[in-house]
Amino acid sequence: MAEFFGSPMLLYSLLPVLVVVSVIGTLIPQGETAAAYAERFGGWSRLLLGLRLDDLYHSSGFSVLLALLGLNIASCTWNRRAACARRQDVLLTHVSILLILTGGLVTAVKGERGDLPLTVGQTRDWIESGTRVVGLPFTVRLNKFTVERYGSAGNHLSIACPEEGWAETLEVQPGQSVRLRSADVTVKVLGYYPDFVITHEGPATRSQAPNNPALRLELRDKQGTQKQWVFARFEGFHATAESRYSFSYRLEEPRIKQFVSELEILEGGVSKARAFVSVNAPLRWKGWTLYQAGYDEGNPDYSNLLASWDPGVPWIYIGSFLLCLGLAWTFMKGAATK
Amino acid sequence: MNLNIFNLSFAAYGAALAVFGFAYLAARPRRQRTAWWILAAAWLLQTVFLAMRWHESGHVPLSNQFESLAGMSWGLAALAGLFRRRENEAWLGPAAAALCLLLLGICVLLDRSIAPLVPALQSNWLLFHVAVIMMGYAALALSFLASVVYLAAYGTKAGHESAQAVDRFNERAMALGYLLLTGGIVLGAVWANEAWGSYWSWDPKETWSLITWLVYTAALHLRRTHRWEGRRMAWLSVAGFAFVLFTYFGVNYLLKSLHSYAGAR
Repeated sequence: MAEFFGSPMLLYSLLPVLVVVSVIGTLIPQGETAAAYAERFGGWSRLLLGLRLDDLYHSSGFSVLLALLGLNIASCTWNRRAACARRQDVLLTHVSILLILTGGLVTAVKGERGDLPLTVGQTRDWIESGTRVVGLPFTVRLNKFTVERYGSAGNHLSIACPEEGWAETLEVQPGQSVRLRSADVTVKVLGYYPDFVITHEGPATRSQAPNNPALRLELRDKQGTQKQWVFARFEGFHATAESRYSFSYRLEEPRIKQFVSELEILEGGVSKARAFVSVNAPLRWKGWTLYQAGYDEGNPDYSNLLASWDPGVPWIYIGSFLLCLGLAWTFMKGAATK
Repeated sequence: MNLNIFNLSFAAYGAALAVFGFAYLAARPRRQRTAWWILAAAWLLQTVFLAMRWHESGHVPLSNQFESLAGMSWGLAALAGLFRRRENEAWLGPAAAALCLLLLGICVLLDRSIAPLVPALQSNWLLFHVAVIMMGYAALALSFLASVVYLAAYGTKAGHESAQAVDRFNERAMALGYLLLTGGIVLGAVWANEAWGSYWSWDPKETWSLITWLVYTAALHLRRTHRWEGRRMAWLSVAGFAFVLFTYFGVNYLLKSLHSYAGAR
């Protein structure tokens, strides 16, 4: 039995199976709804769901493959312990992989991970982990949430003249006057209305949120001057009856630079810590780690956090470090002897 | 200015390849030294280009496919130069120059614009993880080149001394690539844990990196324990590099992944 589990042939049989199964998991979208699979795969979706191909990497079949791999490595190392005593680099490499597999098992069995959505001023001491609710040993309050952006919004205006056969796209700013390259036409942006609405007093903007972006343009050409409205959400809807020109307007929001949550940790109603949490800068408290996961475009006070408690991480880190050390040792030995 | 230096670097790799070709066709082996100097000049120009881009963008130039591919060709030329010091293989220079030229040619088709970093990439891990992975790919590319040379030139002459030299080169380049690939995957896992709260999410890019790692694990095991050599090892290396190419290009364009920073035109 030990010979079988520790045989190289088992390894060379397992590796191709692991490769093929892993490839399948990347070709079949993972974690989608039954309806989504039915739409994409039709009648085959039942078989797919029955075989747990929708969550392949967490299925018992895949777990068995990983367990067999671990058993193979452990048995092989034990069966060849005399040789491993002479080649400590090989021993280190194999033991490190076992540590990594152990870490993965610890994460799967003991780890907790879930969403912690909060709006500004809200507190919460639990997370949603799938269908489960998991309590936290502390309370989290979101004091402030900010979305930082690079630069300002870009107004992209396309103007075409079918009669003369030209078209041009340019980026414009309110108050700016631009002469087109394609023709003797000057475009001036008289006004920018982020949330355009018609009121009793005339055109106005409801807010600064770009819910219905509109530009008021003035075009000057050889034939005179004309004023024009263009709307980002309603292409072709213009206030003037006739125009030699056709327009297209697109508002490009400036790219997100960072989203930052100012969090406060409370225990028994007493403030214990405050921190700014952003992507790549999580907060660690009592073994839990709070990550900045997302935000809502339509709600500037909403922050989606992710909370994780993972006792498998130290096993993974130690195993990974030892794996790199073992492989580097093997490589240096090979370089020295040749 | 930056683009001119990129174009000069591209031209220099082409010139190096031309001089290597001349040295071979005219049976003037001494001209190989000239070609290596031109290759070194191309690499230096590429270094300047990457440094200027780093300065202009304010972040390490590894944030999209254009930058990482340019980085990979830089790594390939650097490793070729380092390997040359140890083994003076006649095929190494022209093969490296040709592949660098091809990689930079592909770069021309990609989006070259400098964009500010998205929140997920704003980390020092960007340098460590991507640089080590791309150097790993460069080393595995050298292994692939050695395999192609072996199969083309020595397919039936396994016992020939120079065939054995190419075979040993293949193994060493593969071992180095495997080590760097392992390091890159580990660094990626650490970064993922810091950024996304999970060191491994079975994301397609992560999974295909693991698949590639498993393929090379099998290859190196077969070499070390069952003495797979010559043609068999060369074909394994070719197959392994196919997995590298799918991991690097295929996942970006064909599969949905958190690693979708391709930015192709």
